Amino acid sequence: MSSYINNEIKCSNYNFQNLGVTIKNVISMANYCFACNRCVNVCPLSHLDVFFPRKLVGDLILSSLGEVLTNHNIWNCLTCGQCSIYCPMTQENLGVRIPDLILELRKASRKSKIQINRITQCETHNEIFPLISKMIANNPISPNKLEFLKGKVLKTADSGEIAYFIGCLPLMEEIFYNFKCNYTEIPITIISLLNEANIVPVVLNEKCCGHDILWGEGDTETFKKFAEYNTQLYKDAGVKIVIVGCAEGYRIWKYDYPKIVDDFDFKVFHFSEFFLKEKILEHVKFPQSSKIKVTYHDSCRMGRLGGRLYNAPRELIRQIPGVELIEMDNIKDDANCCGVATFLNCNEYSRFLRQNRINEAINTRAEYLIVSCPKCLTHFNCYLNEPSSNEEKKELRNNIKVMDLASFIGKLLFLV
Amino acid sequence: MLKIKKKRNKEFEPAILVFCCNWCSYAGADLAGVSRFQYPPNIRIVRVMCSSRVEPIYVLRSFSNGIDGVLVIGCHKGDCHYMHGFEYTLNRMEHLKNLLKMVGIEEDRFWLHSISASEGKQFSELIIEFTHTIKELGESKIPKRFGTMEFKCN
Ligand code: SF4
Ligand code: SF4
Ligand code: FES
Repeated sequence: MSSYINNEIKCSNYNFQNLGVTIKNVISMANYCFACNRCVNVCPLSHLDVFFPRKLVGDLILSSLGEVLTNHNIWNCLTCGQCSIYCPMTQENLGVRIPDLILELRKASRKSKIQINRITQCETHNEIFPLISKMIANNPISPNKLEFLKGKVLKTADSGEIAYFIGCLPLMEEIFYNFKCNYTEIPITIISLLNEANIVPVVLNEKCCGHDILWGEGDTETFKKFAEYNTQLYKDAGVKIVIVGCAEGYRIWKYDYPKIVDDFDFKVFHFSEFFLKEKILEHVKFPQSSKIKVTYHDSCRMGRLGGRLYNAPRELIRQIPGVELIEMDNIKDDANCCGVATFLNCNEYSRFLRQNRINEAINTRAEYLIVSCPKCLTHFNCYLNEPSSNEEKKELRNNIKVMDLASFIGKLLFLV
Repeated sequence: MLKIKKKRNKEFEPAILVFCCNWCSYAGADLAGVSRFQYPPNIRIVRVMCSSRVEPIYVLRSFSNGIDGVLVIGCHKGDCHYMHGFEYTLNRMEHLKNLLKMVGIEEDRFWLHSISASEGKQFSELIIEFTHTIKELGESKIPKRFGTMEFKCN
């Protein structure tokens, strides 16, 4: 089998890295498929006629890798994981896991000319994110992003057992300054609530987690640099527990770092998990307010791809007095995608997906759409901020505000 | 990509990129040339119609391509040919400065200034000062040309 594949590849104009292992992985994953077509039925992109996961998997078994990659644009997939939930052949570490399969293909083929062209076509925001990631990863000077904490009465430490990973939120604050998403409210709220429970978290100038560079570009070299830098930084500070405030950071710390870093022994918690464990919100006194209706959007990186962390954030919302959680039609495993992952592919299709999800939220008649991922926050806000000459539509959009879970709590407590 | 030859074992010669807006600062640079005010040869000028045309990504890309310092020059506030252009630039570059800090690029590698069409002398003084600052800072620490940048820049 493998010699057959090698022959085929030689004729095509691809030069794959780590050829043997990757291809064996990919083909063995694809071999589990029995063409039931469930993945196509649920993939949001196949409804829009953009991408057909089963076709890709089927072609992987039958034709050469070079051919498959030419015929299918693997950069279109949102890696949202909807397909792998429905696929009857997906199990832990076994079976067709399409997001992982796509990631492997991206890793292997990213250096070939056709794929570089395709990445460039999919990139948004002038490629500012991959560029910044690469600059940070290769820069010997460590980043300096804790400026926003200056002038705040927050206690942070340089070494200790519990660390809070800020990630790229301050960077996003500067890049999307005109969106007024207030990303830095998230770390401020989390740190002050931790302080309230007498926990002084370690907050360091870490580099980005590397999510976009891994999932968006398949660039393992840069990702490895991030992983090694961050884990070393925390190891030197004596950290045992890492609290992460965003969905993508959570996924990366929990599932992708252990794969690439040899002696990884941190316990990783999403802040909602940690708050529940330490019962932090139970001791906080919320000011009296009128009833607020909210709805919660599950992000893929915390849900389908992040160990199905569905209940912790909901439990946290329920702990806030006066807040009523109304669920949308599609939640948890079925939650619809916000439309963009890793800042790739922001186009008419992804706009349609965003519109779809926002409408679902509006239909619940909630005042706030609570999200737990900065990307969802950005993209929903982008959609809501679109100029529209249709007054009725605008009215509808004004009915809902999109907010991050942490900054929502912070706003209620007047922490930010 | 700029080709400023770096002489070995001699004093460090920085590569500096200057963005000048067409209406004031480029004319100012022109005046400096016509009046024969001397300034160091380390700079290359990119003429843009207005300083607000300079997107943050241009500056980041310059650094990732091995530039040691970037200078953006516009008209004086209120003098912009397009009315509010320079105010946009001020706002934008304020955020960019913070961003550069987070990326780990020294603050002084990026300056924003105003030069009017009649300020040839000031232009040459500014360049002398900026080049001096960059020389003190030394070579940019960002490794040159990583990843697929070369391809994507085209
Ligand atoms: S990960 Fe999402 S976008 Fe990609 S094939 Fe599966 S369902 Fe479709
Ligand atoms: S759902 Fe799974 S088994 Fe069914 S066609 Fe898709 S990949 Fe194959
Ligand atoms: S034209 Fe000079 S800054 Fe706008």
